[in-house]
Amino acid sequence: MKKSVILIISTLSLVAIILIGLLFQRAEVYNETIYVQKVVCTSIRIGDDYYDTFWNERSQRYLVENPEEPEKEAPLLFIDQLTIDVIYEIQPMDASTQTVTFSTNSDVSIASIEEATGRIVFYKPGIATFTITANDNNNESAKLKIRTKTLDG
Amino acid sequence: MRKGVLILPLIVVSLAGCDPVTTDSGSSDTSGLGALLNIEVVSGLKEEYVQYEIVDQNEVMVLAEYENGFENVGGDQLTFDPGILDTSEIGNFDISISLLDKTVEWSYEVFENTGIEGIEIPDSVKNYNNNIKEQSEGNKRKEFMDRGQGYFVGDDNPFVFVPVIFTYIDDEELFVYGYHSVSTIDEKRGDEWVRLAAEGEISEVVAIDEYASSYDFTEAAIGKSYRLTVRPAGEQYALGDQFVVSFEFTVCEGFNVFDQDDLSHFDNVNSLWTNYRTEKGWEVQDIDGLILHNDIKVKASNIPTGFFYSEGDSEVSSGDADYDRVIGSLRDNVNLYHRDIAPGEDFVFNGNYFTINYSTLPYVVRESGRIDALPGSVISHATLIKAGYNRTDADLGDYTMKNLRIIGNANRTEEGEKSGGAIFTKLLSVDSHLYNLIGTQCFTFILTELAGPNPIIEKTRGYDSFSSMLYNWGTSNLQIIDSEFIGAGGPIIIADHVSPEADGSGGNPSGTYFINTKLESIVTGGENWFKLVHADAAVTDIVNLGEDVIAQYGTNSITKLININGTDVAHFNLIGVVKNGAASEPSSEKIRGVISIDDGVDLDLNGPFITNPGLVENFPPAMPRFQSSNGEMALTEGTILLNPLGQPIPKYSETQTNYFTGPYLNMYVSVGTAPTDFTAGYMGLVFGLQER
Repeated sequence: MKKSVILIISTLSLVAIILIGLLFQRAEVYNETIYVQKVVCTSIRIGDDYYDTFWNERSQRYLVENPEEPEKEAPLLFIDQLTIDVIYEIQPMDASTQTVTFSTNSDVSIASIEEATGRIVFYKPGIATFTITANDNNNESAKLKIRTKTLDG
Repeated sequence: MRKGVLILPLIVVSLAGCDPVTTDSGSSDTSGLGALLNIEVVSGLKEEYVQYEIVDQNEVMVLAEYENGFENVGGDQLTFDPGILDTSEIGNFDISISLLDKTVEWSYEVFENTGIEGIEIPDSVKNYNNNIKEQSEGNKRKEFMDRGQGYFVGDDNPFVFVPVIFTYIDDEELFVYGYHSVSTIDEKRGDEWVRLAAEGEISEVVAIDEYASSYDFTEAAIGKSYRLTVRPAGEQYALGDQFVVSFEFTVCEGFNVFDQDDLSHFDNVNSLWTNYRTEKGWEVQDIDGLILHNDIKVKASNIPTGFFYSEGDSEVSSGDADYDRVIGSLRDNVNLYHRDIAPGEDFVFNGNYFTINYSTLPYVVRESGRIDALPGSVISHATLIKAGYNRTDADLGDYTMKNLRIIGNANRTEEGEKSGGAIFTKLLSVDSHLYNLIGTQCFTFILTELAGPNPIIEKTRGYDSFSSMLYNWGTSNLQIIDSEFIGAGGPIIIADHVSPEADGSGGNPSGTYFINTKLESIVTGGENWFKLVHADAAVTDIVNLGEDVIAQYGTNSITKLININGTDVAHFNLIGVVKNGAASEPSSEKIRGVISIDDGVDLDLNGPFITNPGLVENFPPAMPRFQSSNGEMALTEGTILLNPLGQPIPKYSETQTNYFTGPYLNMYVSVGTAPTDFTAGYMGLVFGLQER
């Protein structure tokens, strides 16, 4: 290839690199905040076992899914101090604030949830709703309902 | 590992149905199938319902038999008589389902709900409880500064309080929209709660509909606090905490707003809303306050179409350069919800700690009707909520907006079309108090107009605006107290002198007074706002001043280098700009205006720094002047600083002492006109002084 052509290509490449660099530099001169648009409860964990959840439009809640019947709620067997971890995800995945806060307004004699970790403890059989709220000012949240029963309940 | 012993078996109630034979589209296109012979319900309806059970008629499916085949048809294609399958009353009922000329009758029974396993407070109340919580240290920006105002209920229309009701029949959850309630009302008297007697006392303060779960408070209840306790009717629900919920609130004047349609009653100015309400058959509500009881997501579909450009609009032509963007866009200069508050009236807009979210509101594409080929050139004037009408009365009405979170549609971003985002609120001729708000992603959060509003913004947070967060359009007495504003796309505040005379007097000069308020807008000058207002040309000068001139005189300056991806980029903290209201970019006309921050020296374009004869003689025009919030003065000829006597100021390398002290530096730009006019400035800027 002629030297002049090589020189032109090299120069154009260098200019392109510089421009691209400037573009990315300019795009990063301030961090645009990406807000949470949705909080999704994907599953719960009890010990080493995971149970899917599904969104119920009528109740506006995530419910624990019966693995034998999709889109049907399954109650959990109550045992003393039944401990459940909430598994969730934030959308979009690159939201600037990734943390959430957990809460419940249900009867605390039935169940409680740790604000920071989302660990639930059931103290007696019953129904409780838990809220997962994103910590940015979009204030998006999702609610999870868990129903526990005894074998003879 | 999934599933396992902890999932209990369910008894599944299956609905009878026939398998579809040919199509399952629900389409009305039956070409080729011939005449309709018969229809039969296959799913979506039951023979028994609990009282108040939700029935989604769109889920009804009929099997239509035609001469040449079958087709499943969904509820959206069917006609019901009566129109709604009503489950509010107990008894036996019939409903007809029709497709074309065929009808099938369906009988069902509604029985009392005996399957309630528990109730919870309504989701809106859960959200309220979350909204007033104290946040952890890293999340303080979403915490209301005043979390203790309490919950309010208006007296203009019933307050609806329907708990979340968990109903299970044969171990399957049924969803109900209401219930037969039993209520008790306690009234707060001093520190005690006093149960109101069912006969007499209760009816004096509230009318209860135990089936609609509505509570219509009377004027006698205004100013008093109540505790409402509810449970389902029926002896089986009389015992057990899981069947009882309580909620405390205070009654006030005002209209209870549950959704965006209710919000429309705020507007008493725009005929578009009058027509909209008439078309929908809504009664005009004469309200004297407004209280939210839920988050409101503002949708364009619930706003009169006249606020937007549409197909067939006389101002729109298919040949317009912006045609692909303008249809459906918001018209500029509109106020979507506008209220005139007359002298003597007192209107309170109480958000009850809920959120108004207008993030999906269409943008303004045409600034004042101008057609731009490309997005990103608009400076929007459209506003979501405006209070006050142009008045010359000496007496004004009173307007308070409080306890509200706002999410706008224009954050600080590279996306040019967001320059068409909407201002959250404008205040005109009404004594205004904005208290305890949190606003994010608004094009501009709050704008005050002219001399009317006597505005006070207090305990309010603002973050992440595309343009300035605040705008003072010729208001001489804007007070901002105990607040926090961080992260504008330009300055925190733009303050205009509206219609000045040639000598900089007259018109409506701005006066902005910050008290105990955090102000921070760290920008590079590359943000969209700077390009929009053609201020990007001045950024080079600002950076030069900060990096090369002022930096010689201390460890602080108006600029600071922040490393971005391996490159040091100069940033400056632009607090405020005072300019001529007629100019959207730097201009050469004289103006006045004041920005005052706590006890620091004011930026005052008609103050002693500008007009003192003893000083101005030594400050030639057309040279920027500086004065720190602690009072140190200087001007520059471009490379060094000079004192009021025109002498070079010793540099930091000689003194080891910062020349400028205090948190802010006021800068007066292009003061006066050479050679003799020393008075009245063109523009004033307030920078945060930063340690480098």
